[in-house]
Amino acid sequence: MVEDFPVVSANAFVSLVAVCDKDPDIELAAMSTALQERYPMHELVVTVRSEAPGPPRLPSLHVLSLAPPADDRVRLAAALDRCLGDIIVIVDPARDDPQAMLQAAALVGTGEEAVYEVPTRAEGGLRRWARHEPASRISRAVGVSAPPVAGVRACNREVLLGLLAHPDRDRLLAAFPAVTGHGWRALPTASASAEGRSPLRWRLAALLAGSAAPLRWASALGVIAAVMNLIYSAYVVVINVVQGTVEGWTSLSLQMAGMFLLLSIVLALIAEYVYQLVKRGRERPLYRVRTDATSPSLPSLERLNVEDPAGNPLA
Amino acid sequence: MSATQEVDVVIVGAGIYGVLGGIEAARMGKRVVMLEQDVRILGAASAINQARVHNGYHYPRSVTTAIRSRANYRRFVADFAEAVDRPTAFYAIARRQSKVTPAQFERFCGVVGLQLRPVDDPGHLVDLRHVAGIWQVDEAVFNADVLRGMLGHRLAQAGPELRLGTRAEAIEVVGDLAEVTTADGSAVRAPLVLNCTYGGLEGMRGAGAPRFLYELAEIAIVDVPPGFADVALTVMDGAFFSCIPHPASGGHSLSHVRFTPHVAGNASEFPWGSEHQPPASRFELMVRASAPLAPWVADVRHRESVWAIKAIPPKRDFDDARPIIVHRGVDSPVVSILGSKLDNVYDLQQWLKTSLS
Repeated sequence: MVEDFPVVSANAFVSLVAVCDKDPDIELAAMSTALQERYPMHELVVTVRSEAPGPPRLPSLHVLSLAPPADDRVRLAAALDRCLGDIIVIVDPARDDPQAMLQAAALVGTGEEAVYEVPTRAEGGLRRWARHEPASRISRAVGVSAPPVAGVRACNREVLLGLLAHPDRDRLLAAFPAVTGHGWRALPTASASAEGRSPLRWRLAALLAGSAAPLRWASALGVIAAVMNLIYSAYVVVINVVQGTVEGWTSLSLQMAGMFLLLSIVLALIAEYVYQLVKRGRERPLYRVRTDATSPSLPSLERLNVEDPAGNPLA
Repeated sequence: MSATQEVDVVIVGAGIYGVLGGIEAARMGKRVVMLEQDVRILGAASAINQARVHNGYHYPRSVTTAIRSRANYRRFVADFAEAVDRPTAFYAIARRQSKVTPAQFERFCGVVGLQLRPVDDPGHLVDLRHVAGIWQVDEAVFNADVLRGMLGHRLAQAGPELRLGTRAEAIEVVGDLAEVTTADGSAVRAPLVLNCTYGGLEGMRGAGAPRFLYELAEIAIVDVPPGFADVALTVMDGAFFSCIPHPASGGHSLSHVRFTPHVAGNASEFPWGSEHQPPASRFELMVRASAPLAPWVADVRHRESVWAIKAIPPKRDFDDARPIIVHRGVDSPVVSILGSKLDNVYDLQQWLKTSLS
């Protein structure tokens, strides 16, 4: 039973995007039914983890498999690359229900540029920081607001094109409306999907792809390390002059360990960015499509291109 | 003062929507009178356009429009074979600021059933620094003069009474009937009036047409450099351009999404009359904006510009659809029809068939 969310327009074209294990005909059956009822013009664009998906049977289903096997971010990016809709909804077939999908579509259809999911469950400490900080960092880096939330659920076509224009689109998935400068609205949800949609490593990847701020942190850490070394050197010279001997394995070891920690962090940050630059410089394709199949037809193929709101017979 | 004539259907406007609507109504046994202010049919927007017969490629952001264009294209090309030319047609997707990516366009064509063929020497046609993808496609153009002759012949055979040079000035609803008064003082009364005047929907008093914006559109007729006479190039999707053969003039039409529309306004402030001079041509701007994408466009030569008033459908929130919009008041015998693309006229015929039966 579908609840009474507003139908945006009979002509709104909804793209439902998902990553499925093997058989999207089964995994997305409920979503497909709900979409057919609400939005006659729709499509399901799916990348499967399986290497040999069966022929698609659901109406308007487009199924991809990639080679070599990629992670889910790349699979999702491959599906998003092919979306034709005006409203794009990302679902997790293992966790989401059709109601939440329709609600997100309705929000985008009524004017929201993007809809994030916000988990309603209380949380704190490191988890809360991990959930909030990357998006906040991105927002500060690019000068737009971003929600401290779990992941993008839906967006309009313009937002999607903003993402697809970015060479690191797979890595930006966790926070792309913030990076492209679009607005967003939070959709509170109690489902576990909010957590699963965008795990911590996705958000860290989005932070590194969408912002150069960590390189500035590396610069700051390098300067701090240099100043501390300078102070420590001066201390050693003073002690040597005043007392003749500098003593203490403990303090020396701590100093060395601390400096190496700082330098390692700096090197790790720089190495990550150099890695990304080299990777991009080699211009390898993000993915290769192994199989690509579409179900026989779109619904509404026979619908006339006539809008007649009255609809009753003429004289 | 002439006597008032009473018929089953009055059609105001003898563009392609009015003509084929009239033929369909006559086929159903209706007594039809058609009123056209021009001295010939297909004198305005039906003839003054790019002359493209849409196969669907143009609407990657509206699958419904594309599917119907695809379906109607085959029928139009078969129905009016003598009026149709088939140039070597190409569609390209701009690398920046396009509303569609090459991957989306390819998938869209697959969904709609449109053929895309790779291009052997794309650098000859477009600058690949600015164009992300280009394909050869199957899309025709029509000769408006030949089409006019064919439709005139069919109209004469089908039986509607056609009154050329007759301007409909006002519509008055009298009971269940609508009475159309013309500039020559005659009147026609019918239980159904179809207002198919496109750019002049609000030009008649009492028509009750919806309020649209109207714009004056310029199509530049140009001569292309040697070697491009058969080339039809369209760069999409957004503020881009097309340069395609224009059979009625023997040249090419050049239009640019940004520079083709000139003045825009509502019905009350828009210059309806033909006595108004068109503004200065924007041909140079069209060329300047198009040449970076297709350098050969810099060498086209301007012959003339043709101008048409176009009704702009209400802004749509979701897509780039170009539906046929039907507007009628409650229990009103007056129906305003804002036509869509030329070959979508078969959808109007089908709708009329269903609605009149």
